Amino acid sequence: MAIRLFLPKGTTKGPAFLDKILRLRKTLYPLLIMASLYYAKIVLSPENMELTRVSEHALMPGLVTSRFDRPGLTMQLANDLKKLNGSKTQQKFVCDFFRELGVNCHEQKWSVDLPSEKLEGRNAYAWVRAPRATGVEAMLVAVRLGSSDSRIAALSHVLSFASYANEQVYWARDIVFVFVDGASKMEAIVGFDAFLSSYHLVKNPAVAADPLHEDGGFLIAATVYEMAPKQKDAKKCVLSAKLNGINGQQPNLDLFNSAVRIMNREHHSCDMQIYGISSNRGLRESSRWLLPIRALYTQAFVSDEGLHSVMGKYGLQGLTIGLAHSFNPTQAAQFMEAMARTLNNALERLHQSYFMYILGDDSHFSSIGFYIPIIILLIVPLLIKAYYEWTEMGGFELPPHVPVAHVFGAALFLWSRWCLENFKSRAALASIPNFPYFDFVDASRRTENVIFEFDMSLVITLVFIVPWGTFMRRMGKVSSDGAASLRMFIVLEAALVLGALSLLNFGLAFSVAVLAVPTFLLATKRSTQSSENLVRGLPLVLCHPLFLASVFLSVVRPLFYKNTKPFDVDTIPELTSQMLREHVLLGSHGFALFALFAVPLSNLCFTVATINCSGLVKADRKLSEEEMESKNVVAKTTE
Amino acid sequence: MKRKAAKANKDPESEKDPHLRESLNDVRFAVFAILLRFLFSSYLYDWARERVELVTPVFSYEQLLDDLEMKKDGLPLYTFPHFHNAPMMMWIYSSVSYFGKHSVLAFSCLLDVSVAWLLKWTADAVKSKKEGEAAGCGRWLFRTYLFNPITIASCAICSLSTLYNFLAALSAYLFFSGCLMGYVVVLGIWTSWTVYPAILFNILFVLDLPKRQLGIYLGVGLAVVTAISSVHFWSQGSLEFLDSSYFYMLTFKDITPNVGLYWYFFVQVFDHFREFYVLTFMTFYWFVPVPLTMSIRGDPHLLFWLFLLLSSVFFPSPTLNTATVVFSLWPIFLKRYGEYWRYTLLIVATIVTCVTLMPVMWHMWMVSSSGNANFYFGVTLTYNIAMIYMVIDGTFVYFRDQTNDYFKDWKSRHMGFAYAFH
Repeated sequence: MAIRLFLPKGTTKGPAFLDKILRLRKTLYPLLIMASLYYAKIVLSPENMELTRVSEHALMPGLVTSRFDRPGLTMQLANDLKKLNGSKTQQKFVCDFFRELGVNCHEQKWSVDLPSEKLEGRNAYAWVRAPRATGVEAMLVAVRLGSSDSRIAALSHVLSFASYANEQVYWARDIVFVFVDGASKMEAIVGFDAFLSSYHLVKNPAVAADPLHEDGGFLIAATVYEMAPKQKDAKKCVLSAKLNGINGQQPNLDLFNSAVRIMNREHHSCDMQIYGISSNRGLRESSRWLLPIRALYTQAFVSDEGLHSVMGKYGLQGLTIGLAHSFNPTQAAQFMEAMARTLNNALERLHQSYFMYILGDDSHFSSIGFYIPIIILLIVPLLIKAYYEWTEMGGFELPPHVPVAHVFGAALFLWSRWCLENFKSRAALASIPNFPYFDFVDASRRTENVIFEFDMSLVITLVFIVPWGTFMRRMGKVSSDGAASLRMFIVLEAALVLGALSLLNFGLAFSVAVLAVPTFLLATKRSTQSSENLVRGLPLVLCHPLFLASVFLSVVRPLFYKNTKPFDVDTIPELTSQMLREHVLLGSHGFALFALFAVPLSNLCFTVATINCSGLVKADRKLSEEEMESKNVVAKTTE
Repeated sequence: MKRKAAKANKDPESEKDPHLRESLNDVRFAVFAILLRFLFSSYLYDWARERVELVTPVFSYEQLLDDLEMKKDGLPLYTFPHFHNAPMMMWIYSSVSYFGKHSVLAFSCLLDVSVAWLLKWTADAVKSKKEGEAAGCGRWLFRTYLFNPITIASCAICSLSTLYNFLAALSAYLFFSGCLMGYVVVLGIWTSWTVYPAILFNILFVLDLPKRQLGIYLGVGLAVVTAISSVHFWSQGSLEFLDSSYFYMLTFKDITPNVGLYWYFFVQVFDHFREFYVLTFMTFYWFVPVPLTMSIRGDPHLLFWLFLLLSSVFFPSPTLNTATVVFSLWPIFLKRYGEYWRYTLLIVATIVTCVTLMPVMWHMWMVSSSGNANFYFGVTLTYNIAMIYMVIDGTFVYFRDQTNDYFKDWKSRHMGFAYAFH
């Protein structure tokens, strides 16, 4: 050690095992990626997963004896709801029903007033107060309004349960019943988000909502009820559960486990469908990996699974339960009663069980400790690459391309938001009276001065797709150290973003990493051969995040989801538009991640590939000429 | 070609004078940086002002606004437990905010840009040890500080840390350029606001100053602190401000989550041990500079940087912006001590990772409930450990350099290691 201290680089020289890793790096890159996929195969197989258990013992799910006994009321409500026929709104019907029970019921108006999105609705909500509690805690039961048979069935079940719950004296916390208005699923989610934002006094810039007339305490958990998908065999008992929230958030696993326990106790023959697949492997013909893969996919790409999707934003634990069509009114309401009484027992906020998990079926799950090595193995090649670049460079230089690419990404992000907030789906370039001035106007504001119209989502997509990174190489000469620093920066940032993302949304991090890691390794390969770099740069065009995501959704998705729309050119702008819409309306982070990290990194890959083609080679050539000159001078001096 | 010719004709002065050209470039960068700060403030103000990494009770502008309103209503500020700023801060910001929020933002931008320029001049004031060659990293410091996302965000939310950074940068510039009288005055002002920078007075002891001159400098520093404290006292008419603004920091009363070391510890510790630990931490902070001052006598600039680093790490309610001046000055010493630095990559990678993970962990703790306080504290602890490693490595490079000088002849004579020296 003492001698080493005096050697060149002294203790700055890395440990010997790192040198060995660097020597073997070209073998390690593919090996680690394959190891990650192989490990994923093992760890996501339900046979190797942990068994689910209820960690919060106080919940005692399925142990209470449900006593609901008003099937007649349910049937009567269903008939009344069917007969409404516009004589009065469902909201009024619901509130009249609650007022007859002696419970206060209110309506809440909400609206979205964006040029591209005009939504409005009217939620109804009622509080069943706990007679012996102080009201510091509450639980939420939500259901969608609607006139279809399944909506009316779910609505009548919830109303009859509310009537029963109102007469019970054992509630330890208040129950708020929310009846959410919204013709489409997205509309209903926005409506429910409006209720939750008003409840939590959070301002949602996109949605205007009335303040609540009556509120309660901390919401300990929530359940959304709907009817499960109809089965071909009408007698087959199938419930469904939906768990995934926006931005990869999932409810505490105890909540799901409780629902499964209650189902198993009361209805042995029933099957719980998760992500649209039967979780009973005996009944299922599909692959055993289908359910975990759909779990990952849904977590990654589905922001609007159901009303429960927006609960995570407010720290609310919730899930959607689809009641079996084969349930009679008593069974359906008793299921709701059992769920409510389970949550009534909770001693504190649900935190005992897992929040980060992948379900294998209704009784198996993989926790974060088991699945996180998948992403670690995928990230390690990037870290090795970064360390290699560090050891090879003479000195660190921060190339200007890095901040420029990110500032540019941020500018595109803000511009896209501005477009959504100011234009309908179509915009137009119009000349305004004082020629030669032009202005972008909404296409609906037709004037005779319109020069041409265009689709906004297409324009936004095109702006994002342009490989701006190729133009950034003109920003200045980059030395070989600068290029090495740029390469190191790209892989380090990618590793960091993927690592951080995996803690929030593992599905998205995994889906992105599988495609992005090889792309980054390819794009940052060292080479001074112009032809090689050009060949390498070409696939980068096809590796644009937007293009990859569209191909993934169109080509890979059909492998585990039927009825997927085939890939066509329109898929890409549709995807951009959907991401942007979900970002503005629901607060999804997908578009922000795309614009602030994926696009800048993609552009930097282009830059680093094209720098090798021109700037670096020229710079190196110039450098070597200078070196030759200096050598000649030294030689002459020595002579 | 025509365009190039036009460009050459357009700005003949700048073509001739590289310094002028560089200054023009700096102005362009500064304008762009101010624009970024205004844009950030317009779009992300609400998001950033709630980030605990950027706002603490000591540096919160929103809190100060509340306090100003209370002051207007004639309420005795220092009787409220949430008020922690020295009265002078109130005067400054009440004057600046007279014209509204935008005037405060403009004031913060002005301070931030000044910090960047001061850092550049500081680097220019340092001469490299190698044959008097200029250190040459001023431009780097200027740009990294201006475009550091943390400084942009802090300035955009008008964080009071910008003003403290200005004092840190100003004291660095005055010290590095040899203007010691200015240095002690600025340090006196800074110390009278937050007590922690007082350790920077220690550097005067390693400067080989005549005793009389040393006494004068220390006396002036003390006089400034006393004068400002007296003004505070006369303006308030009581000593209540001492408890809220000084003892509050010295006794770690703030246990709201931040990027510092102490909050989690004092949340967990039993109350009857509290005084013991307060005393221990205080002793540690005020005595660590003593051995450092005795050891690093040959490089006062490095010692200044290490003390600045220590005061950032051990400040009880810091923000990420508290350390940005220290980070910005680091390249000067990276250049000076070259390859002796051992953990540069490790430290930088750790700090960047931690800064990225802080909001993630906060989200996991507060929003999605999938984490808890340990997650957030784990990241902040690692961040602080990385900074402590900077102190360790900074001390190491100095001794390594000294060893080189000391054993140079001996090694070349006995071990043939002459090639090892740069």
